[in-house]
Amino acid sequence: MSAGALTFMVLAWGIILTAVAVTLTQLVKHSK
Amino acid sequence: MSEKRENWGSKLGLVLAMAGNAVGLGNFWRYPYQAAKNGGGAFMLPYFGALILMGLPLMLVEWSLGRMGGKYGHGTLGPMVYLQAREGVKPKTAILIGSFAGGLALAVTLLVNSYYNHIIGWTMGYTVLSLTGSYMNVESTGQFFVDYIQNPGLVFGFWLVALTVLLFTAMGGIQKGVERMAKLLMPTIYVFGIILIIRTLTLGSPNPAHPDWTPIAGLNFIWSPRWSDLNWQATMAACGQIFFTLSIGMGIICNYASYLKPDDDIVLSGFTTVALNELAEVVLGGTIAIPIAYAFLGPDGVGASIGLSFIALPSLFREMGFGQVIGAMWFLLLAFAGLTSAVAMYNYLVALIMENTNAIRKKASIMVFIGYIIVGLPVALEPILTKTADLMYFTEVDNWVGNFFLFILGMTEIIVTGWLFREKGLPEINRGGYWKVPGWFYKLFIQGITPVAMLIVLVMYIKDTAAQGYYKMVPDFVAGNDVLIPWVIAGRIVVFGVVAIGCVITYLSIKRSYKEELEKNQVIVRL
Repeated sequence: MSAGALTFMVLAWGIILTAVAVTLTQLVKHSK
Repeated sequence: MSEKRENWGSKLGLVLAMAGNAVGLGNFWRYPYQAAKNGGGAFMLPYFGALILMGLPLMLVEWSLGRMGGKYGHGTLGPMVYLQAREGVKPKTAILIGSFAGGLALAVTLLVNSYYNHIIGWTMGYTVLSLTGSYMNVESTGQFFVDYIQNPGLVFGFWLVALTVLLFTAMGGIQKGVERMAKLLMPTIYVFGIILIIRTLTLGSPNPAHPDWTPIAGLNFIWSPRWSDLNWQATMAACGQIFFTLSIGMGIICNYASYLKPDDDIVLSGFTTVALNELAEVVLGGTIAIPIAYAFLGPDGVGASIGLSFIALPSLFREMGFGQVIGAMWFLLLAFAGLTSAVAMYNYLVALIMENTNAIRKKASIMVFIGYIIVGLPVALEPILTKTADLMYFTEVDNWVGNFFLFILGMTEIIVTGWLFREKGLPEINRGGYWKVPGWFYKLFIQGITPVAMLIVLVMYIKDTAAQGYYKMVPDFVAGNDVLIPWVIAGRIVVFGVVAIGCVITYLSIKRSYKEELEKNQVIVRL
């Protein structure tokens, strides 16, 4: 993969996976 | 207004149902096609821009409209919009805005499902046909698809299976129907998605004539930023995709939110729903269809939408190891994603009937089933009776209720909350919230940039589609085709007929609930 493609993919995946992890963790924490 | 309403059984169930509402067919076949066509990696800039500018603010607005409406006993959009609009204009004006929103929401929930249920039926049919290997030895998967949609037995059979699943889910109610379905199907969608990604990335180099066509090259194709493709059309495509994927501008998020308790969190739950949807779309959806198509067909093989799922991919499944199983898994994934969204539209109509008649949920669910049979018939009959595969009735209905109306409805909602409900909107969103929306965000986005951005998008959408001849008496896309012109005209009559009926039903519904304050033209009922 080109550096440009890899950068965009890693950035987008990173943002989304972080958002999923943070929101789900917070939701579980508050649901207890 | 004070009767006991159903509630969600658990936070997990709510979030999965809301995510299921958003995660639909578009995540897996529409997004990868849009990204590949509109700039690859560069598409992510307008895509995330639209998500932040429009998607997130509108998602918060819809959750708050719904939760507030639920407190007053409403599960449909018209009265919800009325309740917030009357704080900025007189009730007699607010009822007109509410009726307009309710009319559009009825058209969207009734007519999007008129064809969406058919696509779910196709995916169910193709699941079985994959397992039985029916298309493994045919000459053309394109002709196979045409034969499928012209086969009454297959089309009607699997359509009725899809509708029956929706019927029993809706009859089960919020906790035992919708929530249970989400808890079962949503984890399955993610697991199937991961299995399909693993199979995709291990395809190697399946075309001996082109050893450079690999799934990784496909990922490179979909993610390489092509700045020259980043134009106004790409921006519009990104906005449309955000609306479509988050299921906003339809009223169905509001309906699900109406089953929240008055002090249940909506901010964190809303953000979690968006995050789960983006996981399904960008991470899973973007890593299956396009890399497979690219590995077998190269860059020319990725330029189709519905054709990618029902024509291109089946032709590739028959060439890959475990193709029958992988094919079945792909179509079952689409079916599950479709069902979790379709049930939200189904439930909206159940709520509408229960709100306006004395019907219990079971009776209302059966009435909606019959309604979907009636509005879905033309979609099924067009290819069968005309022996064509252009699906023009479907196209015309989708142009209005699957695109145009979403923008109008979304804009109406954000203007009502931001500009009419004004400063009362912020505490309404934040009430009971695990996370709080800061005041600057509310002022900057919900009262400022978002409605303006949506107005611009709507104007540009109308300009673009007018240039393409969509609003002519006989639209350009069907001009000269005498066989299909009546189907397009019929589609248009149905769309506007349903909007008109929806406006009247909503008007009468609001008038019945708020008779006294409408007579006095001042707000009386506040909970």
